[in-house]
Amino acid sequence: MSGLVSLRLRAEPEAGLDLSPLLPRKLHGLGKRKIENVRLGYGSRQVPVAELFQVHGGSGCEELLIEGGSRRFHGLGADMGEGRIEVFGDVGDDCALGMHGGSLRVHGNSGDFTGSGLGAGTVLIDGNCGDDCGALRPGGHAAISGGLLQVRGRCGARAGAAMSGGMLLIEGKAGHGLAADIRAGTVLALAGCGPGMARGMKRGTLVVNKPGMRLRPAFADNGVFDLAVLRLIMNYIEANATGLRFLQKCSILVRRYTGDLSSGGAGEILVPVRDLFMD
Amino acid sequence: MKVRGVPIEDTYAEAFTMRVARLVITAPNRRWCRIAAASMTGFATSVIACGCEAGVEVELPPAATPDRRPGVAVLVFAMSEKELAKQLVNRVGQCILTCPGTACYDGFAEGQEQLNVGVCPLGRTLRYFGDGFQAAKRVGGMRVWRIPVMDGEFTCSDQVNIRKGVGGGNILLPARSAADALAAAEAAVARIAKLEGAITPFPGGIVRSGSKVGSRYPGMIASTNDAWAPTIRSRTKSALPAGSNSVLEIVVDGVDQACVEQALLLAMLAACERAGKALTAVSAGNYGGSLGSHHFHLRRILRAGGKP
Repeated sequence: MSGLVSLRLRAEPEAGLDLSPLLPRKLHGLGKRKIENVRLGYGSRQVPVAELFQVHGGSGCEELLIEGGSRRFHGLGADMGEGRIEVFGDVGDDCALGMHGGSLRVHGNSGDFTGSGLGAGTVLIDGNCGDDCGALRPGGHAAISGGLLQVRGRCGARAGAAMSGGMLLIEGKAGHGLAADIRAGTVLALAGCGPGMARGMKRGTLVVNKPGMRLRPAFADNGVFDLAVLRLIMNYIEANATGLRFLQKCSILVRRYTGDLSSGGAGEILVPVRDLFMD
Repeated sequence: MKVRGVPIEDTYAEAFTMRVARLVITAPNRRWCRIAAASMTGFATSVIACGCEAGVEVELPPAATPDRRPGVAVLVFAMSEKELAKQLVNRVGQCILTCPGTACYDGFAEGQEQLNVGVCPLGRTLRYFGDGFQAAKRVGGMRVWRIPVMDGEFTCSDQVNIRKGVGGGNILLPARSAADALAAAEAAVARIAKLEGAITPFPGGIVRSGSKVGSRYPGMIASTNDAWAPTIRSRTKSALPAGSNSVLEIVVDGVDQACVEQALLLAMLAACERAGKALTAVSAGNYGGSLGSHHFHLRRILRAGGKP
């Protein structure tokens, strides 16, 4: 692919490193020398990229590869609007913060507030996420409001809290407070979740692939249905998410709970009658 | 020019620019898809009195529908965006919303967005049936309304796109007998049915009452095409080829000119293959070329299709 810039981490950073300036759009048109001189926040200092990374490529950056990761990488892909970023390693907090286009993939784990404020585009975390994945960040304008955030591993607490659109897909187990205060959008927990899910839910959809699970009295059982909208969601996931194929069933029955009854009761939790992946 | 010994008249079909919407109707099984589509496209043979022309375009396998259930794509044509929107809301509201297990999606939702000339607020209008219990859902780029009904939910696209289409492409099939004309017309319709992007909106795809513009009676905008009516050939300026005792017409509406051309080509070939010299000619209806902006010259279509 033309326009590929790769950065190889020289050594584990000793302090928090703000990677938010490294966006394909900002690096586009910069030669190797200029990319090496882009300043990054490093602890209390500003340092050039070259101090921490070996730079390959330049001029016409559409795709940024970062070889080597660290939990001290913060703000990767923040405010990204186009292009592609791929990291081979872990990243820290605020990954894909406020992202509104393009795609970002982390071949590793990510920290807290991953995908917070995501408005469009796709984010794929191959490992686990910290707390508040896709949730509203203190001082932030929104949680996820569009796009797709896929976590192939586990998520910490409060994933998808206060979401107002888009889709959060968690393949591993989600922590407590999943989708709390959700206003709109869709959260799928494909391996179940901790207690306190959807507390304060106003609207939106939470799908928990844990047949037979019992919910708090704040959610009312409406019965079992084969909902076309769930089929739309599964079709979308198969077309846009990575590595997921649901079992092709002629009937996908889910138990539909509505709630949180203390917050208007217009949200829903869908619990499949049978596992979405098992025959 | 002859095809299988059948003379092809040197004439053309005159067709009109219309507005078209494509709906994908899904249901739990093929039977209910067909029932919903048949109901929704009923009484939609001609814009003269039905408000729109509609028909089943193609049946879709589950893998080709948004919700992975069996589906049917229908095309609906009208003369204006406003009339089309009105027809869509009424027909989907009365025939799809009411039909067990169905859902309804925009069939022009993906690809070739530059062809869209308008939108019909379909689900956005029908949602009020939910009486406040309806909910919108956005899945990727698709926004749907979920309207609670007695068998579960009716899911319907928020808006459906409207494009320019072509309506009124036609061929006339004069034959030695009514049975010959019907056999030729049935073969033509069966061939068009396999084509995507085109419908034959009349009953079984066939018209026996071809019309001309105007009438001797005031208030009638169309009346019988007496030039092609065999029982009065001695009383009128007949256009019937010698030996003709029955004429049937195939009317084709398509999403673009190429689809209509292809449909007319297939129809002519199928009719000639089926009936052979029992067809006395293949002709077409026009209004002198002054009303419709699309002219489908039969011989030109056949030459382009590889016929000498």
